[in-house]
Amino acid sequence: MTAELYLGLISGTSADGIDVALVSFDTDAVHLSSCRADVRLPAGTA
Amino acid sequence: MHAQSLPIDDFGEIDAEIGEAFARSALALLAEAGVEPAAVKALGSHGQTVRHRPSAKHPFTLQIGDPNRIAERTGISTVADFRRRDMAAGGQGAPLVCALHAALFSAASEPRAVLNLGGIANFTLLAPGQTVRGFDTGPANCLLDAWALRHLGRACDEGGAFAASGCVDGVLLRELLADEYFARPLPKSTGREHFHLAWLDAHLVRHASLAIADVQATLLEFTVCSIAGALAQHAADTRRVIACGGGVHNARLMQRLGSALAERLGHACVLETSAAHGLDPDFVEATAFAWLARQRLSGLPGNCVDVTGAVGPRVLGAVYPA
Repeated sequence: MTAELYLGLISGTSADGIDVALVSFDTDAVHLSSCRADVRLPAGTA
Repeated sequence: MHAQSLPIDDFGEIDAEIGEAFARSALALLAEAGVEPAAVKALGSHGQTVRHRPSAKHPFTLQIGDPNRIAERTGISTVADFRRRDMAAGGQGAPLVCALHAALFSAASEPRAVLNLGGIANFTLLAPGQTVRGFDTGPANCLLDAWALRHLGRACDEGGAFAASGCVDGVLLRELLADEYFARPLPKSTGREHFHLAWLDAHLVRHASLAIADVQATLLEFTVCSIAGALAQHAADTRRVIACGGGVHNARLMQRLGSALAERLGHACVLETSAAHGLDPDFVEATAFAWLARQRLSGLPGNCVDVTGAVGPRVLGAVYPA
């Protein structure tokens, strides 16, 4: 079975940035393929 | 975000702008990874929490970051609004990462706990042969960061160096730990609506002469004591704590946590980060929302009922097709 790719995004309650994870799901494994953190939410939201 | 009031027009624009920012971040990561959007089955977006009121007369939780825009800009089906179905089913709507913690970090050989050190700290309790439990313990970084921002002009106290330069004030520490949240029974969750600078300032009125470094030291110890005390109360046989979230980079916090856990549990307890299990501690939560999106598309529940208190397992999130 081919692994399925999903993206997960959340803006942290602490750093007030955006964490992004590209995750590969295999039949019996979860693998974080790639990730990045951006700190660029609009002014006034932090 | 801790604005007490916000004009509806501003709220709407921020919702849209955050949705656009999320979409840009997703596309930037895919470009870096050399992955085409079409290769991604779905995107799970938690959004930005602006209010979490599980104890209100009409409990609600509110996350913004328009998922319509994320789906439109990325061309990827987007799942969002994960928390409100659990809350509608009588749950706290949080924590939602526990199911992923259980899937990745459980072991039949020992009782474990996963500790997320975000703005708020939460435990997932993984005892062999038992249902998954979990709850928010109280502040992790939120007060530490807020105090550092106010007095150092920096987003955080890097490595806990500022806290390490101060002395813990025992009287203030006891007063902070006397907050009613810590005595609440499970299930429970909290947020920066409860633990914020105004809450701290109200306590500091009686401690006006304290040096700012001493306040930082006391806040760090407050985080440590509330976490270690919660584990001792709810899962005293835990042998391994797997930490994740931004707080793992606070060396002083991790050092004090390691000592306090052994002291409060009364036996040796390994404290390590999720990196020891192959998952970057900074991206466990983001990974969880990818996992929750997959659960949603598979028609599978995303909540742990013994964690959130919902009346039953629920499929979480709404789908915004590409």
